Amino acid sequence: MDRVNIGLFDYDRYNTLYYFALNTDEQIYLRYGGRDQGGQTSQLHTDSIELALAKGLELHELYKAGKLAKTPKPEPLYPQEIPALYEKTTGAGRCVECHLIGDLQNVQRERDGTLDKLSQMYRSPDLKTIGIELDVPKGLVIKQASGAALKAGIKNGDRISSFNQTTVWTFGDLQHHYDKIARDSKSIRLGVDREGEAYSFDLELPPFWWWTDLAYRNWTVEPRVYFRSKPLSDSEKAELELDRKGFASRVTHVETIADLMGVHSLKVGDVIFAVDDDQTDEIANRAELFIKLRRKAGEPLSLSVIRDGERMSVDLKSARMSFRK
Amino acid sequence: MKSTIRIAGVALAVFAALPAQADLFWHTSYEAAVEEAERTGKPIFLQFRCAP
Repeated sequence: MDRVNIGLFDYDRYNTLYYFALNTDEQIYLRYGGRDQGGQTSQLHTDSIELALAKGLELHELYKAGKLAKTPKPEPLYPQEIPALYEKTTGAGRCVECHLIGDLQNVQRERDGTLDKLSQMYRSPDLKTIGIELDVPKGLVIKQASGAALKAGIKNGDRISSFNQTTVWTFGDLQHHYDKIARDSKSIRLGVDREGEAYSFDLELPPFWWWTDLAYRNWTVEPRVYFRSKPLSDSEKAELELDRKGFASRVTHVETIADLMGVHSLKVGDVIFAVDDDQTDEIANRAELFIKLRRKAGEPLSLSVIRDGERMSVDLKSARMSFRK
Repeated sequence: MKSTIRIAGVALAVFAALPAQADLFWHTSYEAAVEEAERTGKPIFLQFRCAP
């Protein structure tokens, strides 16, 4: 990958398979690929790739006839231009692997102080969160509309044709553009074809629409905390005399490795109500999310905890992943 | 595992004619695929494959 223009071929690098259809002017017709929590091949099917190929050929004919609108070409970017990536790969005599590009780009951003964890760690939001389940063999045809999508007026059988007024031909296109929107966005606009007619719907994005499972990504920049918690309700916070607007949460699961690695000594049932004296956050609604968003992987932290009615401090030193790096 | 790029200057157009699998040829050089696409007037279908 060391000679690949990753600025042009920009995609979520944690996809096992990803395709681009383009012409020799490097105008990308469409993308095919993408995944969700269902797995590496959850959004792939031979029928839908055939649809994508046919559409690529169609767009190519339009291009040759001078009838295809030009799209802006992204700025070029090569792996060696990212110092953290170069150090770990070409500079060390190793190959540039796809997942390393994504991971070490974030390490470089962390070094530069430009890392936006919401958009650059929580990649490729799941469409199912907004109630869109696709009929995968049929590409962008909706199998089941629910939640925000149903509320907006989208129906089963609709075929998605545009995202925020950008034409999309495949799930890869759709997820790529969806991933690019600001994480404080409140709504998106979907265009659909329904029985030969074009419609447009505004979907209201629910809270945490951007949240994705980080487990399979093994980000270096993700603080590993080895516990999970559940937000306290307002009444629970009141009972414990905690800030109602705070991210206080009750530990529901502690991984065995936490003790083995000396990460922390939390117990199931502990209520974490502050991290280094921070009790509130405009986004995080529970302690581990606050840590993942607001703290650097590998840094020591002090948690304010209520255990069996007693307030105490618990030290936590999040792990910094170095899986096959 | 290493990532690979497979570039098929031919596969996309041939696919539309429903060719046999044996007719498909995947380049591993982007430059070679672009050259063939320019020569034949066909589009490029590019695959990234990566298993972390």
